[in-house]
Amino acid sequence: MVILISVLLLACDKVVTDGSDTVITHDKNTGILDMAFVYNQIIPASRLRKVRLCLAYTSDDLYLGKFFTQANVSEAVVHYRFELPPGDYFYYASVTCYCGGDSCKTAGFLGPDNIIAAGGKVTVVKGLVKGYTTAFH
Amino acid sequence: MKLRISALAFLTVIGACSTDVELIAPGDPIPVVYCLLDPEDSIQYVRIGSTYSVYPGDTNFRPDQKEILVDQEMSVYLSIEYTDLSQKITFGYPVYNIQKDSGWFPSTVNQMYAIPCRIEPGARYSLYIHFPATNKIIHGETVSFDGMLSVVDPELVPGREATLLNSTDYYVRIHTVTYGPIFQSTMTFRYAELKNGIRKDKSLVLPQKFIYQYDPMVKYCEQRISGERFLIEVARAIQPEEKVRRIPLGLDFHVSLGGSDLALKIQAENNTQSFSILEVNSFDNAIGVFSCLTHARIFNVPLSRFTIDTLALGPQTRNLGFLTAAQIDSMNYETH
Repeated sequence: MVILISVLLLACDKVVTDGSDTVITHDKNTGILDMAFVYNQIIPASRLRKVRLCLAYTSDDLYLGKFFTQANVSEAVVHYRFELPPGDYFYYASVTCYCGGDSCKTAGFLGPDNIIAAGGKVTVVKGLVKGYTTAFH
Repeated sequence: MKLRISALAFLTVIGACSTDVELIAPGDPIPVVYCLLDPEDSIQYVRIGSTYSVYPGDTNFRPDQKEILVDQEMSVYLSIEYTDLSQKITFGYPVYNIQKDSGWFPSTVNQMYAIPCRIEPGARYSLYIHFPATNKIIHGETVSFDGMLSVVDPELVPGREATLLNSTDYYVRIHTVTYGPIFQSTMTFRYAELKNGIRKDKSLVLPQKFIYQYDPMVKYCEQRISGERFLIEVARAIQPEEKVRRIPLGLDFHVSLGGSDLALKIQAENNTQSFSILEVNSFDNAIGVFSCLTHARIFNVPLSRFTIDTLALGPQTRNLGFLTAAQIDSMNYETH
């Protein structure tokens, strides 16, 4: 009887899996947004640096720079995860260029130390890990 | 004659039957040597001292300077060993200008030797201390880092900020270095206190735990700094004061990387099942550590507005008088 109860309890254990658009099950009313922070590498990646990755509730907030959360970006990390209530959000990602000469201009920057940004709408679905990639143009 | 021999034998036997055994007797002092090679420095330092006896229960005993120094002529030298037959030796010289830390020991100066030597990467080093009077040699071996300490995070990028919230942690990362398996970062939170128009800059030092990384194939070695722990530590260390307003200024980081022998020593001392600090020892004829240690410092990592507002309005720290980001902006606007 004890063994049977143990087996039943284990069978009821919550399973959390990883990966893009992966189903997760937990009691919270949230989903996970997985942002892959990647950028165009016309110039060497070692001369580009991530600056910010933030989220806004609306497109207005995005353009006004009113964000509600921000990740600690790093050159060592590509994927950043945010656990959020289901709904639509807007991401803001920015990179800066350290190249000398005109190389930064070739990659779409106005010049060295200039920042280019990307933004867009993302959706968080309850119980899912939804994957998105930053889109720099 | 026979009687004399018998009497002598009797006395010897009687003496041998004595049950008076001296359980606590002062032993010979053992040299204590510390040498942590720093590849970033052109001079390597060796600190030499001596053990002393403390009788059980005598908690007030303080050794005098004579007891903790090695009062003998000695030559100290460092040898890089390219092969068993090819070595390059650099001799050290005594230095007297390095002040000791304050504390229990009464010595006014450290017994230090400086060895002018740049450390080569991934090389085998031997440290020798030779006492000509007794012809005794202390010897230890270690292997230097196979690369320099390179900090990945934090990196000072214009516009990049550190966010530490209940749900957001911060990470210090370094490139993994072969023969450098232990690293530790210390984060210093700097803030200003404003009271009656007077500003005082203050800081809160938050050392993090040791991180061990023995796999050189792992690209990065990382230390998680819990955002929640940061807010709790700030609330614990900083006291609320009336009419005091506080402004978060930023974070400083001190990153230290240690060699394999230092990692073993620290692991042994942190092991609660370990009975003796002598269990791990780098030297023959002495006790101590011979390993590598290097440091990197990153100053003025700015805090994000989220962190500043959480310090001002969050449940753990809202009674400490921290200003919000908007209040700081308006204050800076008024100042300029």
